[in-house]
Formats: sequence, structure tokens, C-alpha cells
Amino acid sequence: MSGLKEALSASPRSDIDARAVEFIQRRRFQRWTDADQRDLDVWLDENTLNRVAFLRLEMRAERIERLADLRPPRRSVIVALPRFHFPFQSIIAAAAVSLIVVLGVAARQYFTKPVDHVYSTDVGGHATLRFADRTEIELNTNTVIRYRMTTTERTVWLEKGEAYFRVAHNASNPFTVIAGSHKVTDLGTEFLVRRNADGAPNRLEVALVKGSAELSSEGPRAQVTTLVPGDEAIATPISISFSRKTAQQLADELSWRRGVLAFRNTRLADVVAAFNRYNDTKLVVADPSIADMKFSAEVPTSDYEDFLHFAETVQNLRVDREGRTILLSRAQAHKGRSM
Amino acid sequence: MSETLAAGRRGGGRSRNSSAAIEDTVSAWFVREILPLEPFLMGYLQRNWRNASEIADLRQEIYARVFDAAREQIPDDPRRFLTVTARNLLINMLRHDRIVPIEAVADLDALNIPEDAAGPDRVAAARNELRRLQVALDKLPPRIREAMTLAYIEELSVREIAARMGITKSTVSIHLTKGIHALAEVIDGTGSDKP
Repeated sequence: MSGLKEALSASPRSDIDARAVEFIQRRRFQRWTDADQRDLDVWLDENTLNRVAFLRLEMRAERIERLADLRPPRRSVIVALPRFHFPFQSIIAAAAVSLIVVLGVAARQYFTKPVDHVYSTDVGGHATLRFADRTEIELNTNTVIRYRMTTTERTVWLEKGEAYFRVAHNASNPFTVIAGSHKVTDLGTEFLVRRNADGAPNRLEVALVKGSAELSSEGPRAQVTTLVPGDEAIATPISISFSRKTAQQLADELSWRRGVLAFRNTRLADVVAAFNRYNDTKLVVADPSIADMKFSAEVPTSDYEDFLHFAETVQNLRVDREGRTILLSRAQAHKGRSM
Repeated sequence: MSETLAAGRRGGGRSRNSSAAIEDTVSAWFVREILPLEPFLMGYLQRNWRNASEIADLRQEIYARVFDAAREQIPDDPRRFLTVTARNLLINMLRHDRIVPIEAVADLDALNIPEDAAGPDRVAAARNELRRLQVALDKLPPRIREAMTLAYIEELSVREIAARMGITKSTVSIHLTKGIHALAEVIDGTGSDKP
């Protein structure tokens, strides 16, 4: 017992907690400079007790943002916010939150205004946009975004593809991603959004890695949901359902940021779909009976040739090349496994 | 020799460039896998440690040990790892207490790992959390409550809150810090509505 008492009297928990909350409050409400960030980093590095106290209270403090739901609805107010704005004063450093949003698509187009900017990547492309408020948007392959980033509005429309967002949270200027009739609002967030051109219409998948964010859908069955870490939400026009993702699954979904695709017991049909997102040459499963074969591998996004070689030699599949299309089917050899 | 809790703890002196990535990875894991287990950990500590006033300190010490270990290798089974870390700490504490209450040790050895109570209805859970926040907000001292309401519900800036309340910005900051601390402790941190 004496050991504990001594150690704790050297750095009492209540003092650590108070210091942690002080940092959290200042970052949330005050001007937050690089020097402040350095102070915080030094303090966090001093002792693991500091770090775990900070992480714990930071996560909990983010949930206080839920109080904003008590605000009366004010859709029309969004058009003209009669507020003072101190462009740099109110910018808060990106809170430690990660979120993945995956979206299947073809939703209706939103009206475009002249102030909007558009940025896109080609098939196989990868780009990062960095904004004055320290928000970063990382675009994956074949992606189109439209954005309006001002001191009074921060909105990004995901027209197509997938993007990872690292948002500098600012309560007076919320950050919103709109995809079809779905909307993700950060409560201090990093997140990934994907929208597949050939996915189901207006289907949105959101997986939260860390922190919190809010998912809402418009329409007759409008609902608002706060996501917690590990949640993957699938939103359609009529429902929102949830599943849990492991750390590994989330890491796999973000593997494109490292330039690789991660497959773990992944169906051949899904493997092929993944490669096709990154390459102009399209793989096709020509034989439905092999679509459910499972593969596990981590391969560069452009390296489907390695995968084909593996499929051909190890899995005994047949590979036929027809121009920019590659057909996969069951090899005719009778030794092939029947499924 | 008495075991000091800081023993073996990694601390200052590490270069940020080389270790920042590890810290970020472990932090993300910790927030995702360990912090949501807090109700479970608190239940375990309450069952197995008599001095209630020490439980919050023990919890933070256990968190720190888990975090330190995860820097070397992220544990496969977070719940089990958390439980084992908690048990080892409690056993060490009892040993250093000299008089070892035997029944307490026996109880500790019975590794009680209930299955995760999955919260299927997240929407309802989120609503419950909001209600709980609202109740906690109402219980704050009046000036702190007012500052918190203006900050989180009205979304005013510190400057605007100071003007509205007729106090200085630094007083607003003090109110907000206290308010955040109070509300952060009432949130159960898992998004579910279990106490």
C-alpha cells in the first residue's frame, strides 16, 4: 500500500485529471497554437499516467458535444449565421477521432454553387488537400469531391469515390460531409468516406475508429445517430443498421492510404471489385461458382498481376486476357476442387 | 523493497519523431479497445478492492500499465489483458500490505470475464446518454451551468459568453474547465446506458 501512496502523492491523479481537462478546454475553446500543442505533447510524453488520463477525458469530453442536440432545430438559420467569427481564434486542433465512411451510390446530385471547388483523382490516383484551418482531405482512387471551405461554412460533397478526412474541429463552423441524402457531421473527427459508382443507390457505410461523429439522413425516415468507436453503420434511405468492426478490419479498410489492399478471407468477387477500383484493366469473375472462393493477402493496389499468378498456379484458376479485360474461371482440369 | 508504480514506466527523453507514430497507434487502440471497457473494469475493482477511495487511482494505474505494455505489443484480447493487468496489480498491492486477506486473493483468482453486453439499440443508447448529460448539466452550479449551456448548446464563443455573463474570458475558461470535468465523469464512456 505504501508504494501506491508514495507514487500517487508524487503525481496525484486528481491533479493529472485537472491538467488534462485544462488542455482539453483550451484546445476546444481558446486559440490553440503550435506552442500549445508542443506543451501538450511534452506533458503527454512525461508520463503514461498523463497520457491515459488525457485520452480518457478527451473521449468523454467529446461526448459532451451531444448537448448540441438540445438546440432547437434551426435549418433556416444555417443560411445566414449572425455570428462573430474570429477565423483563427476559434480553430481547434484536430481532435483525435477517426471515422470511416463507405458509401455505395448513385444518389441524386446536389445543386452546385459557383463558390464551390471541385477536385478529383483518376483511377489509381491518390492526393491530399490541406486547408488553412489544418483540415486535411486525402483522396483515394477515382474520386470526385466538391467543397466549400469558408470561415462560416465547411461542407464537402462526395460525388464519387473515397476520401479520408482529418478535421480540425470548430464548434462555430461545423464540418459536414454530404453524400446523397446522408450527412456525416464531425464532433472532432478523422474519417473516411467511400462512394462506389456501382454500389447500391444512396447507401452509406460509416465506420468510426475513434472519437465520435454524427450520421444523419434526410427524407421520410429521417434519423440522427451518434457513432461510437468500432461502429460500422450502414445507412439506406429507410434504415440505419450497425455492426462492430475490429481494429484489424478498420486497419484493412484504411490500407489504401499505405497504397495496398488487404484481403482477409475475402471473397474472390470482392477481391476483383477492389482491384478494379484501382486499375483500368478490369478483372471479371466469369464463372459464378468461384465467386465465393476466399483469399488472404496484402498487395499493392496496382499489383493484380501477382494476384493473378497466385490464382493461376496455386488456386488452379484459369486466366484469360481479352484486351483490358481479364476473365477468371475454373480451370478445366478434373483435378480442380469441386465446390 | 516497495514496488513503485512508476517503475519501468517509459517517459520523457523519447524523440517525438521516432515514437510519435507508435504513440498514435497505441493511443488509437487504447481509446478504441480499452476505454470502452471502463464499466467492466470499475465493476471488477469494486468487487475486489475494499477501499473505494483508491479505485479511481488504481484504474488509472492499470490503464497506464496496459498502455505501456501495448507499446511493445498490442494485446490480442484487450478485455483479458485488462483483467490480468488489474489482477496482477491488486495482488501486488495486497502483498505489500503485508497482511494478506486470503479470501480476497482467492476471489481475485477467479477470473470473472463476462461477455460483452452488446448494445443493439445505439440510437436509444445515444438518446439515454443525452438525457443523462442533461440531468448532469442541471446539477452543475448555476454559473458553470450557464457557461456550459452557452458554449455547448448555444455554441457561443468564449468572448461572447464573457459578454453575455458579464465576466472575464478567463473566468469563463475556469467555468468551462470545471463543467467539462464534471460532465466528462458522468458519461459512461461506452455509449451504452449501463451505470
